[in-house]
Amino acid sequence: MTIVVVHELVKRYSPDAPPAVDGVSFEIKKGEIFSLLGPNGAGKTTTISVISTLLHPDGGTVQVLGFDVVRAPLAVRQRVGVVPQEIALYGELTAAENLRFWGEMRGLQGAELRREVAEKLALAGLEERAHARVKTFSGGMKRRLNLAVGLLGSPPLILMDEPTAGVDPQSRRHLLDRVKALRDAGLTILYTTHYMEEAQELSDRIGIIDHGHLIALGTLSELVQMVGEHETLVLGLAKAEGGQALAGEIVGLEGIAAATADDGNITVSVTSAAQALPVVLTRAAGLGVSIRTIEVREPDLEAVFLHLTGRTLRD
Amino acid sequence: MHKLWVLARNEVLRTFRDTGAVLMMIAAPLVLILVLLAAFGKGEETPIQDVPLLILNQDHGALGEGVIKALQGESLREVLSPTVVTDEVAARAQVDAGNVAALVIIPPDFSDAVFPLLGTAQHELGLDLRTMTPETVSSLPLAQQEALGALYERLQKSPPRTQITIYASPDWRISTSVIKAAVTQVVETLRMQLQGMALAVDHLVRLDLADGKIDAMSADTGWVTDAITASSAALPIAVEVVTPAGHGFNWVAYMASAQAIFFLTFTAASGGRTLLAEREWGTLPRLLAMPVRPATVLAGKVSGIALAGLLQLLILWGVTTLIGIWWGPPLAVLAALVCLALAATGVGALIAAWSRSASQAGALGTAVNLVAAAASGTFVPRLAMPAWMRYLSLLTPNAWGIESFSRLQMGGDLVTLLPLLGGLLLVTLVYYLAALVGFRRQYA
Repeated sequence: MTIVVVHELVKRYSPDAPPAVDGVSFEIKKGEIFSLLGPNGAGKTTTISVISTLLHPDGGTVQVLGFDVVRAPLAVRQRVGVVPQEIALYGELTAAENLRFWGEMRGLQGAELRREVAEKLALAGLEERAHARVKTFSGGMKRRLNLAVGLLGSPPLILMDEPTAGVDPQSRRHLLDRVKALRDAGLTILYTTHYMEEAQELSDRIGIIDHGHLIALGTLSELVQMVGEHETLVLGLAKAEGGQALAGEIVGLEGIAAATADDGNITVSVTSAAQALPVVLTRAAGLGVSIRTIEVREPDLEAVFLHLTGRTLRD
Repeated sequence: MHKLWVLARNEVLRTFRDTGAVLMMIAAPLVLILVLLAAFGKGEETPIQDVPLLILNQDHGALGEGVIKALQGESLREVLSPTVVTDEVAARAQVDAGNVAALVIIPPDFSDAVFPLLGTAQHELGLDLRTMTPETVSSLPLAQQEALGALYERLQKSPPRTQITIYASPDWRISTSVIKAAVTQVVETLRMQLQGMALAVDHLVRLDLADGKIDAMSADTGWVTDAITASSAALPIAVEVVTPAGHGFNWVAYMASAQAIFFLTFTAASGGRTLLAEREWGTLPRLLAMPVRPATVLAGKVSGIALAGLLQLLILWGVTTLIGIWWGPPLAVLAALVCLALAATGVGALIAAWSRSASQAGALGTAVNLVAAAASGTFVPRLAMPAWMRYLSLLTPNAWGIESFSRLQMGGDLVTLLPLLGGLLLVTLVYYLAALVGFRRQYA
């Protein structure tokens, strides 16, 4: 069963600027975690905002469980839970009061509301802090509560917009485990992130988005196959200077598909690390660039992104 | 409807959970009112001079003249500019026109109230005790002596009371308070003089006239007994200020309501600012992604701000009433408070709707509130301001509120208040319509 259908979605914020989302199409099946992976500004949040009816599309159509986001926004909102990037909670209210308020906004009342509040407090691991004001919580606790609020009423589709942004490793682990548990419970999740590791760990399918375009779509293995037999060489430089020059020098050489320099590293997509490495080292020596470390990586989403865009996700 | 209520309740709860907001909403205006109360009580810095005043003396006795002389005396020369008149109708017309601050009316029974035995004996029994000696009293027929004794008993049990009325112009509110203070001081001085006189005479009278009341009364003259009586307690003279509407003006009440409205506008502006702040916090987008109409979200939040403002006003009204400040008839006050809370919230929403960020709304709100307060008579009497400013300030809820409470404090009721509330609701409608245009533009 298809939960979300996005067809040729276009969204622009001003007539002069290029579209934030340009002709994006994808579908999300029931019970899957679909990740939109891309760097900041790629169009992930815009896409999720259109699906959640916060933004009107300028072109294309978006349907959630058969309801059009423009024609039937209320019906869509009744079926969608949103976990925003920001901590969208009221600091002056307690955790329980926040859950109660957002639950009532979802239309929950009476015993059902009380049960949901108790459940979500447990899910966030905040039973003991239920009556403490949220402004006294740590960042991780707020993130967990932020997630729990998005799950109130058990909507069939959950939209998660970079829910782990700025979270400590322990809370991040907790959140990722929760997301997987939700999928196992039958919920459908659209997850946006710019963390390759999260997309790899969580996703049933991944859409890679860049500059408003969906440049690749598939399962992890399907995407990695797009890179073919490519490996990734990551060279740590003694000094950042010269990195850009070296990347420019080697890209296009035989066996080197792409190269990019950032933060004192050069990331190179190669058909064979063994064959490419001597060439790269020779060029580096010629430019006076000292190599401090060399790492060879198996094909992953970073390699896919590099392969498709010539840039890393952090660029 | 339930969601609207939930949104409003959430707004109120969050507002009153914010310690800083509560300090600003409740504590600050109360402290300010108390400070004004203290300052006004001292009255040292009130720059009032040559207050035009009319005096109408209707007293049958001599004390009325004494009051006039006291009000014309050296100690009040710089403050008051009194004129004695005889035509009450013309004098009242002068007050009604606002040409003079007030008309002081000394009633016909003024002296009789101070010296009840003297006056009443003359009126009721035809006896002029001032010309009589103990011997002449003793020589009166027994019936007259008994009548005199009964009169004395009656006056002891229920002494007559009288009232100096200050018919005041609402245009001269502070001056009215000064006039009242001056008249009260004259009455007090009179009491002290009587007391001094009584102390001197009392001893002598008691020596000679210890046998009985009738003897004491007839020992010399009735005024001695009256003086002793008058000196032993407050004089039976009330000093009442009345306005053409029939009620007194109270400067502290004026300031209390004006300050309450002033701080209400800050609550409303702060609430309006949160409409933008919530967008920055992410809670507004989250709300808009909930199964609730955007109009309900906006209406719920605005209702919450108005409700918080109304609660603030109710608390301030309640507390100030407890310390003796009269705002007006409760039902009329309540109606005015509801309309004011709605109006102030409209201004807050208007500012938010046309601001680009929460910080801009905060700065703009503060500026608008201060200007509105200054222009509408929050810090100085409204009627002391130029007419053009009084009219222009009717664009603010402050001005309508101050006008409303002034009317109530001067004896107005809900019916007489309705035109003002109508005007206030009309400008409120304009605020909300303009805010709606701004919000539609923002969220287009």
